[in-house]
Amino acid sequence: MSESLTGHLDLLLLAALRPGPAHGYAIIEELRRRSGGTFDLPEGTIYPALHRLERQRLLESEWSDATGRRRRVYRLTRSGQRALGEKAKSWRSFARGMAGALEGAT
Amino acid sequence: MSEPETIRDYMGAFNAALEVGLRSRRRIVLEVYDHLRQAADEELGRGETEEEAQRRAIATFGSPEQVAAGFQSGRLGSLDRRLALTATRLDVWMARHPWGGAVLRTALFVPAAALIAGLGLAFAVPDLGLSVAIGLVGAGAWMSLYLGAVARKLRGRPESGLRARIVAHDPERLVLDCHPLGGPAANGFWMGGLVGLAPNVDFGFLLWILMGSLLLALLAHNCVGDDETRRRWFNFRREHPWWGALVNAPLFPSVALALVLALPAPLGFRLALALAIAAMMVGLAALRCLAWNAHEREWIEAELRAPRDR
Repeated sequence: MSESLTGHLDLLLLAALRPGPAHGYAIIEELRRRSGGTFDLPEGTIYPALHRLERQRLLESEWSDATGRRRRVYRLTRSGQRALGEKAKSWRSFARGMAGALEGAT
Repeated sequence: MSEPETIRDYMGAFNAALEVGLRSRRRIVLEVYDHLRQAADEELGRGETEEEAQRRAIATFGSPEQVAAGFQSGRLGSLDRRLALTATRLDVWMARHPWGGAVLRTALFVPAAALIAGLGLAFAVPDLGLSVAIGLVGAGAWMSLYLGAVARKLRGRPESGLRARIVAHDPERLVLDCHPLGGPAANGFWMGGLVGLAPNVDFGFLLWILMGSLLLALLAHNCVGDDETRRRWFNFRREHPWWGALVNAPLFPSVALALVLALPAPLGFRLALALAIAAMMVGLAALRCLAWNAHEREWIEAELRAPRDR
């Protein structure tokens, strides 16, 4: 499962940040919670992806002391929100196609 | 190589495997540490022992090499790689051979010291305007070379293992590495400005005394300060590069040499004083190298603890 997830990691991370800003650990927890434990990537793999998305200006981040521990908190940029919408639309279209093609196959 | 079982060992392996610039490195290391510590704390909350909590946090995170590989930028050219490798080997050698490293470091200052000393002597020229012009041209040429060297050194250089740790524990180099223009520009201001003021020997002597006092205070602080004080100073200089660079400037032995040579004293005395300062710089540089070796682990741990202590 984790290998097939890697290609869609950007979309998953953008989606996990849609409700609001979060730090890396919380993003992983959110992904696990939303997927009912299905999306269980090696946790370390999300940080390079978060940094890459930030370089692409889809995310922005800053240090926060809000919880008494300094953390890097990420949030979607406007470009990130647009990219999330486009990627989600593309994914739904792909998923519908796949569902249609596989209908009755099992 | 065996897999790390504690967060400390994991961070050591991760830091060694990470090949990114210094600015990114600090952020990445702190983020990864924060994640592992939080994961371990969650396990502790479920009743695990500290050892088992750390082991589980590491197991779900991925191997240090695998995670570090995800951050590689792949932007480096072959020349930069060769330069970086040479710089890495040089720094590792200096860290392992403190006296040799100190002599080498001092030798790197010799061209600059010779230039500035020459400028100091140039002030003996009766024509003040000419000597100031020579000083400005010389200082400008030196700073151009210096800026070029720093820029070259910084351009996307990978920071592997021991070298990265050395750099990370040296505030002066951290300031220069993080702010390649700010640090040298501020140093240039000091060097040009002070050399220009040196013809007034009384004022030059006063400045030399002030700089010497500040130098000694800084070195004493480096030698006896505890980790917490050092960490604060480290962070202050990182976050205020201009102030850090201004305070750094007196550490340049070339400036001290120039001012010594401008003192109103017999030439033999001035040269002896200059040699004594050079010898002191060798000794102090050796102490710094020794301190790097002795405190390397403590520095890493102090830095890693920092986010939790705030």
